[in-house]
Amino acid sequence: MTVATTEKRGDAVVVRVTRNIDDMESGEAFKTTLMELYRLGEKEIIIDFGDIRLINSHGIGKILMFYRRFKAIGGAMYVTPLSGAIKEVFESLMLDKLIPERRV
Amino acid sequence: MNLNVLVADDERAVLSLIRHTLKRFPYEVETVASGREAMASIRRRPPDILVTDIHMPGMTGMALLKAALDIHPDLLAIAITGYGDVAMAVEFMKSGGIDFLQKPVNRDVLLLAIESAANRWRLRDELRRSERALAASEKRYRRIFDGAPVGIFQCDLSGRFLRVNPTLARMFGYDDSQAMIEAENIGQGGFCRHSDGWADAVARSREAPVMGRWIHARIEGVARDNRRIVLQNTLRTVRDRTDAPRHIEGFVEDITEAARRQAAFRREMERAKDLYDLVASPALPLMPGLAVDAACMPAERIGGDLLDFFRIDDRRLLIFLADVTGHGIPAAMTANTLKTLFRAVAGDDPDPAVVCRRLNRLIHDFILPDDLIAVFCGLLDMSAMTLTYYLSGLPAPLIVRDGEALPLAPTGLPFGVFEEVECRCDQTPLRIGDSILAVTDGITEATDPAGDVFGGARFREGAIRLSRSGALTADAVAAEAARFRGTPGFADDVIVMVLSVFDPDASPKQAVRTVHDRFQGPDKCRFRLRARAIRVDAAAAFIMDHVRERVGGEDPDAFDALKLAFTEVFVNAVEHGALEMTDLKRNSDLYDSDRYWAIFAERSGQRPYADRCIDVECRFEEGRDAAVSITVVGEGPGFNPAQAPDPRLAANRTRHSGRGIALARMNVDHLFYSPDGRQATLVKTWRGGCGSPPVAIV
Repeated sequence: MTVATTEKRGDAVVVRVTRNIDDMESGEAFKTTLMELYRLGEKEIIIDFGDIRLINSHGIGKILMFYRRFKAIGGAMYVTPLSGAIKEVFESLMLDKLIPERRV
Repeated sequence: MNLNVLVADDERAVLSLIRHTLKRFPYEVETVASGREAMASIRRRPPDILVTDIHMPGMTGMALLKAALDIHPDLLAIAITGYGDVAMAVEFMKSGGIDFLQKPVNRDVLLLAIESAANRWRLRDELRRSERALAASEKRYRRIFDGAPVGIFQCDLSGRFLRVNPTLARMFGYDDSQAMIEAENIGQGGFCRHSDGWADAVARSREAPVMGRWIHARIEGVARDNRRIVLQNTLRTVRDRTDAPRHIEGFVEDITEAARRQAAFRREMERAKDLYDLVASPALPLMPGLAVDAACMPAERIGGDLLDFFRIDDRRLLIFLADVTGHGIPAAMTANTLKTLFRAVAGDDPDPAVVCRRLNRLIHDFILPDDLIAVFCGLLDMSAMTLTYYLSGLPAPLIVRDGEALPLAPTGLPFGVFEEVECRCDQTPLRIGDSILAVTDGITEATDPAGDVFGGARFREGAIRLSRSGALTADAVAAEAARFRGTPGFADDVIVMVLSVFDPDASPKQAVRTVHDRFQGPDKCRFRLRARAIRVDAAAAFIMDHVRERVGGEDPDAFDALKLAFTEVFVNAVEHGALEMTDLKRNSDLYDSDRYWAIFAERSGQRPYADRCIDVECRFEEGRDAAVSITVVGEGPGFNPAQAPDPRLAANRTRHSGRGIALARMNVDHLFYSPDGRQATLVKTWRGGCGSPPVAIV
């Protein structure tokens, strides 16, 4: 299963999420994508949720896991400006305080 | 590959003509001048085509043909005969030659004859190859049939075996295929083959409407050597060109081990589910002035949502609602740990900030790195009329007030992510009439068939609508989201909680539907009531309405009987348990007077009677026929059920007590009383089960 495409933009990598991350399978696939970037030594990750409508704790858990990892190696994680249910989820978890928005 | 052509003739001119003619064509040509030389060549390297003069000195062409065919029967031989020597030509053909040329040899005729021989050679070669291939494939098929790890069989339309492979024979407990066919076809096999399962599968295959459609059947039985076996039979009927059924063929897998594992897994899951039910099911606090209505609908049977209440004192309550990532056993394991920790931590310091900081630190080491826990932890203070809360990750709980809904703002990060978190809390004032509505994300993440998400806005609008129509209950909130989904049930597990603040001094008449705590789980529901607030008939009716909704109204007689029995038992718990009216009731003069009911009413508002609890737990056993069991537990001195007078005896006819129990007993399958009379359990079978079609009442 592919849940995201990645594209290098300058120093950052844009992870464009292509399907809802709301179950174990999509969560694991999302983790694989982020793990790959982490292994490649990427440090600046921008996640783009513009194409999907739902993310739940399966996806959020992975984001926080890699937020900690990237931070530990001096990297950072961003999201493109959010809307709808995804914005709701981010705000309800106060992730907007941890993971700032950034345009690409 | 070029064909080898050997030409034998004593006339050099003929040899040279033939060699010359064939030079431009794909043949390896060797020429010899006598039969003897030809034989030497044939022994050295057999040609594909032999062209020989009939009349040669020494060994004649006829003799050469015979000798050559002896060594090389596939040889294609063409004779060269003298003009008009038809008899010799016929003789040559009879002896195994394929063609003849008449002298003088014509180039075109020669070429034609050689090419025709070559074609014949190729055809024969092809035939030989395909024969070889056929033999190989038969051998392969045989090998598959004999060595396949699955059983393979062919039987006639009545189910008599025609062929079975050794694997199938072993499955059935036979040493070889033949032994199995013999024993099974005369009905001396184990009962697996003769079980309904096998015969049904054969019949279904025979009658399948689509030609050659595979039928799958699971067959449980006993093999010839008394092993219990579970087989998966996949079979089809083979039909001839006129579509008439000819025979049945199929393959059989031994799934005994898989079935055993599956059953063991199911048993484990059943127990895990029972455990999770304990985790999802909160302690009902029964606070004065607060009604609790909670419902839990786990997805995939078990999940990671949990709800609990910790009653600090009469005026303060700690609320804990949490959602662990994911579903199933992993989520339930974490939820179980978290609930245990909450119970351990809650008693020390009721400040939600302290509780949450400690819980996060404790759970942090026991959670997977990509899991997290969304939390709502609130301290409800009925004296100060405030709610102090920590909130992270759950859909914003709502304070529903005067037909409006005010969302609470998140205050911090979810549990399990960072070892230490600053757990800042917020506080909101409460008023009489407020409801606190909190849900886990299964509600807000409900998705309709078009992929739209229910979301926080619809959740809030629904709450406003329900509250304005006076129907804000946990199941009504869940039903709103379920309707949006368009399919029954939820993809995610769901907990809904509605806490309603009311005036504890309001008359019981006003409050009858709100003063009890209720929890609805997947297969049970619990009610807690306090004697103070009970209007017995209305409360019994409310509980029974709930039971009818849960089980379905397919068996009205059973429902009426259960309702009658339950009301008797429930009244007993109030009258003889909480209000201690037993002795007064035995006094006939008092019981017949209004004084009895005056005391009844008085005690309903008086300590210690009015403070006593009554717990009702309804369990729903699903199945073809649903069984409902209701346990009523009361507080108070209780009574000795063994001494309840039997009203059917003439001596007891004028006594007032005992009639209720007797009546209840007549209307249910079983009625058990504990020896101290405080606990009664009713069991009633409900025909038709949950949601099944109506069954005629016999």
